[in-house]
Amino acid sequence: MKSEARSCQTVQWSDRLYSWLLILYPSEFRAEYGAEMAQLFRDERRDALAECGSWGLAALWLRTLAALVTTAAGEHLDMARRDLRYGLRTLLADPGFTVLSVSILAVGIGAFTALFGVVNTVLLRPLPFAAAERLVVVQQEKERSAYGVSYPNFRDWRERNRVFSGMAVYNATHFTLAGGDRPRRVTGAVVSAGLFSLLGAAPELGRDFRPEEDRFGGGPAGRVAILSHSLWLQRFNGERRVLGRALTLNGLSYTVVGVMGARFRFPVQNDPVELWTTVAFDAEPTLYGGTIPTSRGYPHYSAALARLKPEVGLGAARADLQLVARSLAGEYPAFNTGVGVRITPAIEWLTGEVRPLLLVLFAAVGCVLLIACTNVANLLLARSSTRGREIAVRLALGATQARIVRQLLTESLLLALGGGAAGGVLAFVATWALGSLLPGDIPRAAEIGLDGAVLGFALAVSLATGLGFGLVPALQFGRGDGMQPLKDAARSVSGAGGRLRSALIVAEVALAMGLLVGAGLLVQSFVRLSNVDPGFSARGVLSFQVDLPEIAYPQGSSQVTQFYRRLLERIGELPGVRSATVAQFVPLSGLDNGTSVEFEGRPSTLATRQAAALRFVGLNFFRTLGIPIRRGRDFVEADDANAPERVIVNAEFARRFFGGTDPLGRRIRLGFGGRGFKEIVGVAADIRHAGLGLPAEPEMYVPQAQYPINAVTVLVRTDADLGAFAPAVRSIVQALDSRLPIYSVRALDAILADSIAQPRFQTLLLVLFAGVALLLAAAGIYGVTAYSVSRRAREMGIRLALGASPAAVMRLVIVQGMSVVLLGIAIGAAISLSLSWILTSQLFGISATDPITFAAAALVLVGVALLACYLPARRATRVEPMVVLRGD
Amino acid sequence: MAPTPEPQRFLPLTAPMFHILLVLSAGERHGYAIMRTVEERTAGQIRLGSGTLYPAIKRMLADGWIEEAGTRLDPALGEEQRRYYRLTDLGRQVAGAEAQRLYALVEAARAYHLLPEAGQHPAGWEGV
Repeated sequence: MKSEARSCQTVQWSDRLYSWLLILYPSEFRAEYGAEMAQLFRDERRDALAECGSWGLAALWLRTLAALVTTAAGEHLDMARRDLRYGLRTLLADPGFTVLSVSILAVGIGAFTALFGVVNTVLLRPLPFAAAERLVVVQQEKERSAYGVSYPNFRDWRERNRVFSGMAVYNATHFTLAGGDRPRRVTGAVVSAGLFSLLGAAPELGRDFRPEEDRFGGGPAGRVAILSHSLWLQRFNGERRVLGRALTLNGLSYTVVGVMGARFRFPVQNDPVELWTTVAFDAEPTLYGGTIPTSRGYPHYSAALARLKPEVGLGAARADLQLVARSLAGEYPAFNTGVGVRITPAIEWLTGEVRPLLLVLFAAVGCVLLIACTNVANLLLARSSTRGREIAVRLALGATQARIVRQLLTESLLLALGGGAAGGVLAFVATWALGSLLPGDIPRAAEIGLDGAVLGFALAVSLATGLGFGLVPALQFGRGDGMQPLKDAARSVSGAGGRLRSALIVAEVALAMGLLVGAGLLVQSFVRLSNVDPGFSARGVLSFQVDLPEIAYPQGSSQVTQFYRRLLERIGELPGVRSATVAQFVPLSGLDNGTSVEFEGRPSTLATRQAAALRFVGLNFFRTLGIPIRRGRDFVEADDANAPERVIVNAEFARRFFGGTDPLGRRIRLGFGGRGFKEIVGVAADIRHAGLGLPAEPEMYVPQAQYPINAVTVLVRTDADLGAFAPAVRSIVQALDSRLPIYSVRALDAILADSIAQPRFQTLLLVLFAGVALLLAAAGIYGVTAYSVSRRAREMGIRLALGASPAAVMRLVIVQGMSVVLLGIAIGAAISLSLSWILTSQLFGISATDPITFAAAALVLVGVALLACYLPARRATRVEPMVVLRGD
Repeated sequence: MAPTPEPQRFLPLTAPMFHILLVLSAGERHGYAIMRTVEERTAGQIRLGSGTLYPAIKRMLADGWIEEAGTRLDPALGEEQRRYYRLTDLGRQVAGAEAQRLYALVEAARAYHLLPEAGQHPAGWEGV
C-alpha cells in the first residue's frame, strides 16, 4: 500500500514538473500545444511505468529533458528570427521614424561612448605595471596639503616602515644631451635605485641602478644612466654595444648601464621619458652650498612610490607611516614639526585632478543619453498607438500579449542596435575631435582611443537603452486591454498613453534643465576666470627657455650672469623689442618655487617660520611683464653680485607680514641657501602665478645677478610678430654658444590660455551637451504636442465649429503643452539644486546655486518649449471643422 | 490564392517528419497515436517524445502539410478529449516526393550492388 501511495505521489509530481517545464517554450507555442504536450507526456509516463516501472520513468525523463531543452531553444530561435524579419520590415516601412530614432540614439550613444573611452583610459585603466593596484604614492603632508618629500625623510621612511615591500623616489625633469648635430633637450627622470624593480620592470639590456649609485658621483661605474628604447634606437641605432658608452648630460659624463623595453613608460606622462639617471644627479652641490639628498627641509621630490606588502591595506600603511612621521618630527623638530604623511593609491594620485572634471562631463553625457532614450520611447509610444489596429488584429488572431511585447521589444532592440552602430561611428569621429580639444595636462591623453572594451561598452549600452526605451511602450500594451484599440478604432485619446508620454516629457525637460544650469554655471565661471586680471600683461611677450650646462657655466658663477647679460643686450638690439628679461619661472606656467622666510628682529625657529614664493628675476622683469612697482624701486644694474643683497616683495607679502608698517628698508633672510639678510627695496603689485583662479600669494623677487641660475626663461616684449621673431632669437642664442638648445618657444598669451585649458574644455563640452539636450527636449515636446493635436483634430474642429476663436484653441494647446514643461523645469531645478555640490569645486566666482543662472536656464527652456508648442498649436487652429467631422 | 508550393522544395525530410506523414497518410490520428505507431513501425528506433513531436507538428501545420481535424474522445484511451490531425493534399505530395527520392536512392544502391535485387529482402527487413 505504502509503495503504491508513494508511486502515486511520484506520478503527480512528475506530471506537475512537466507542465512547469513547459515554461521553457515561447508563450505562443505553449498556449497552442502546452495542454496536448502534457497530455502526451501523461500517456508516455503511463506506458513507461507499465512497461519498465520506475526505471522506465527515469529513462523517459532523461529523453524528455534532452528533447525539451533542444526544441525549446529551437522554438525561441525560430521566433526571434521571425520577430527580427517582421521588425525589420515594419521599421523599413516607416523610414522617417526609423531614421529619426536611429539618429537620436546615435547622438546619445556616440557621445556617451566617446566620453566613456576617455574615462576608461584616463581614470579606469590600470597603470601599466605589474600588480599596479598595490602601488601607492607617499608624500609629506602639512596643514592638510600634500607637497612632496625630502630625500632624508624618504630614506627614513624606507628604512623604518613595515608595510612596503619597496620604496623609491623620483622626479620628472629634463636633461640637455650633448652630441649629434646640436645639443638636444630630452625628457627624463631622476629615480632612486629600486624603482624599476618596484614597478616590476627590468632593463631589456644591461642592468638596473644599484643603491650605491644614488650617492654623489655615483658608484664604481661613476654617474650612470638608463636609456629608453626609443632613445637607444635613435641615438645608438639599437646597438648592443651601447652599454658602457658615455653620454654628456648637462655637461657631466654619464655611463649607459641599461636600456628599458619598448613598452616601458615611467613616470606616466604624456611626454614620454627618454632617459633615467639616479639621485646622484641631484647630489651635485647646489647654489646654496648644500645638496638635495642631504636637505631634510627641502621636499625636492614630487613623491615617493611604494608597493604595499601583500595583505597590507591602505589603512594599516597609513597608520604605520604616521608613526614613522611622528618619530621623525621628534628627532628633527626644526624640519619635521607638523609634517605628516599622505598615502594615495598611485592611480588616484595620477588622475586626482581631472577625476571630478571628467566625472561631471560623464554624468552630463549620461543625461544626454537618457534624454535621447526618453525621446525615442516617446516616438515609439506615439507610433505604437497608431499601430493599435495592427496589434489588435494580431491579438484577435491569437497572438498572446507576451508575444506582442516581445515583438515590440525586438523592434526597439533593432533600433538601438542601429543607433549603436551609427553611434560607434560617431564615437570614432568624436574621439578624434576630443583628441585635439583635450587639455595637454590630462594624464594618458595620448592613449585615448576606441578599443574592444569601449566598443563592447557601446554594444551593452545600446542593448540596455533598447530594453529601456522599448519596455515603456511594450508594457503599455502588455498591461492594457488588448482588444481596446480595435474597439475604439484607434482614434480616441488613450488616457494612460497620454499620461506616460507627459511623464517622459517631464523627465526629459528636467534632465535638460539640469544640463542647462550646469552649462550656465560653468560658462559664467569660465568667463569670470578668463576675465581675472593676471596682474601682468601677456600680450606681445615671447618666452623661451635656455639651460646653461654647468660644466661650461658653473652654477652661481659670473659666466652665467655674463651670458644672460649679453643675450639680453643682443635681443634688445632687434627691431621692435621694447624690453627683455629672464626669470626662473613664468607666471601661470604651472612651475613654482618657494622657501621659508626669516625677518630681522623677529626671532623664530625653522618650524614656525612663514613661507613665501621665491622668484629669481633678471633686470627689467617688472617692466617687461608690465607689473607696476607700488613702492620703492625696481632692480638696477648696480644690484649685482658685489652689491648688498636686495629683494623686492609683492603687495600681498607686505600686507601679510608687515601689516600697516612700511616694509621698505626692512631685512629678511631666505630659508634655504643660508645667506645673509637682504634689504627690501621695493614692493611690486600682486600677480597671479599659481593659477588665475587662485589668490595672489606672498612673493619675494631676488635679482638674477645675485643668484645666477643656469636654467631660465627668457621673456621678450616686442611689437614684432612673435612667430617671425622666434628664428631671430634662436640665431642669437646659437651665435653666443652653438652648443645651446632653446626650447619651449611660446607666446606668453598661449601659456596664459593653457592655464585654463581644463575649465575651457569642460565648459565647451558641457555647453555642447546642454545644446544637444535642449534640441532633443524641444523635438520631444514638439512631437508630443503635434501628436496630441493630430489626435484631437476632431475635438478642435468641434470647438471651432461651436464658435471657439482660433486664439482660444491655440491657448488650450499651448497651456496643456507648457504645463508639462513647467513641471519638468521645476523638478529639474530641484534636482540641480540638490546636486549643486558636485559642481562647487569646479566653479570660480559663482555659487552653484546662483539664482540668476537657474532663472536664465528656465527662461531658455520655456522659450524653446513655447516655440515647440506653438507650431503644432497653430496647426490646430487651421483645422477645417467640416473636413474633420466628415472624416468619420 | 497563393500558388501551391512545389513539394520537392521541402526535400529531404528528416526521418521523424517522414514517419509522421506516413502515419497520417492512413487517416486522422492524435499525437499519442502518431507517436506509438511510429515507434512500432520503426521497432523503437524512432521514439518521438512530446518535446519532439509538437515542434514538428507546428512546422508541418505552418507549411500546410497537415491540418487539425477537430477534437474528440478516443474510446480506447479513456475520457480525455484529444486533438486529431490529418494530411493535406500538399502533405501527401510531399510524402510521395520524399518516397520517390528514397526510392531513387535505393535504386542507385542496387545498381552498385549495395542491395539485393528487388523482391529479395535482406535479413531483418520488416517492410514499411
